[in-house]
Amino acid sequence: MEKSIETIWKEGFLESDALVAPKLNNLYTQKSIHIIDKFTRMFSINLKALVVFSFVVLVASFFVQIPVLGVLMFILFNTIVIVNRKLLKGIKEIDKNVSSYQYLKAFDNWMKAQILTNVKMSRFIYPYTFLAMIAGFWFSSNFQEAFNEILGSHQIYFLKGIPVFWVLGIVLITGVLAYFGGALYKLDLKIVYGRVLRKLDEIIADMDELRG
Amino acid sequence: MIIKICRAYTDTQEDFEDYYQEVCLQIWRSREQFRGESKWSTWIYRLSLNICLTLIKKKKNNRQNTDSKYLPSEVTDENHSFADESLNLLYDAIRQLSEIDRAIILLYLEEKPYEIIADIIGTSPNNIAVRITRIKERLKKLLDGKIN
Repeated sequence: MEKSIETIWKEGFLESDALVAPKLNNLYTQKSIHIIDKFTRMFSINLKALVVFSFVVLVASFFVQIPVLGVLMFILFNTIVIVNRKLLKGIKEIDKNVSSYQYLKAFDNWMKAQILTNVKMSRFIYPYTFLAMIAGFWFSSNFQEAFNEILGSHQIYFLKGIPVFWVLGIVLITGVLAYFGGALYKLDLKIVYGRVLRKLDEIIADMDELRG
Repeated sequence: MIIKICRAYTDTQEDFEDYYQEVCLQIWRSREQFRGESKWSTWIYRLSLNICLTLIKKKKNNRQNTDSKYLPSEVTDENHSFADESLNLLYDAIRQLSEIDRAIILLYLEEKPYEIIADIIGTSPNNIAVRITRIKERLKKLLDGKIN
C-alpha cells in the first residue's frame, strides 16, 4: 500500500539525523545575504562614499580652477544623498513580522518606488552632469586659453552673439542623456537584480491568484 | 522547523546551510519585533517563510558546470539529505512546486490549522483548503509509484 504524504513526513522526521542543524558561524557578526540587508548595507556605504567624494570634488575643483563644476557636482551629489537617505528609511521600515503577502507587497512597493525615484533622477543626473562640465569649463579661464589654442585659426560661427552649432550640439547631447538616463539606470538594475526582481514578481502573481 | 523550511527552498547542502544561517540571523535581529500576538512557533514560521521567499540568490552555475564535468554524477547529487529515502523523494517533489505552494504544504504537513496557514500566507482559509487539495494531487502524481 502506498504511504500518504502525511505519513512520509511524520515517519521521516522520526529518524534521529533528520533534523540535525548545520553549525552556525559567528551569527551576530555574519554578513547577511538577504536582499533587504544587502540593499541597506549597499545604500549606507554608497551614501557615505558619495558625501566624501562630493567634498573631494569640491576641493579639487578649486585647485584645478574649475570651481563652477565643483560646486555644481557638490550640489548634485548631496541632493542624491538626501533623496536616497529617505529611501533608506523606507526599506528599514519593512516589517518581516507580517503575512507573506503583506511582506512581499511591502518589499515590492518599496522596490517600485525606489526604481521610479531613481529613474526620474537619472533623467536629470546625466544631463546635469554634462551641463555642469560645460559650465565649469566655460567659466574657467585656463580652459578658455587651452580651447582657443586647440581651435587655432578656426572661427566659431556666431548668430546674434550665440555660438549656434555649439549650442545645438550641447542641446542635442543633453536631450539624448535626458532621454536615455532612465533607461541606463534600468539596464544597470536589470544586470544586478534582474533575476531577483523577476522571481519576486512571479511569487506575488502566484499569491494574487491564490487570493483571487 | 527552520531546517524543514530551508530544505524545501534549497537544492544543495551549500545553499541549505546559507539559508539556514540567514534565517537564524534574521530571527535573531527581529526577535524584539515579536509582539506576542501569535504563538512563538507561528511567528518563527512566518519569519522563516518571508526570509526564504526573498532569499533568491544567484547560483554559481559556471563553477558547478565546470566541476560537474570532472565528477561522477552520484557525487553531485546533494538533494538526498535525509536517511529516510521516502522523505528525500517527498522533498524532491515539494521542491518542484511553486514557492507559495511549498510554503502552504509545509505548514499543512506541520499540522497547522487552515486559519493559521491563511494568516501566515495572507489569504483566506477557503483558498488554502482548495490549494492544499490541488497540491496534494500534484504531489501524488509526482510521487506516483516511487514510494511503497
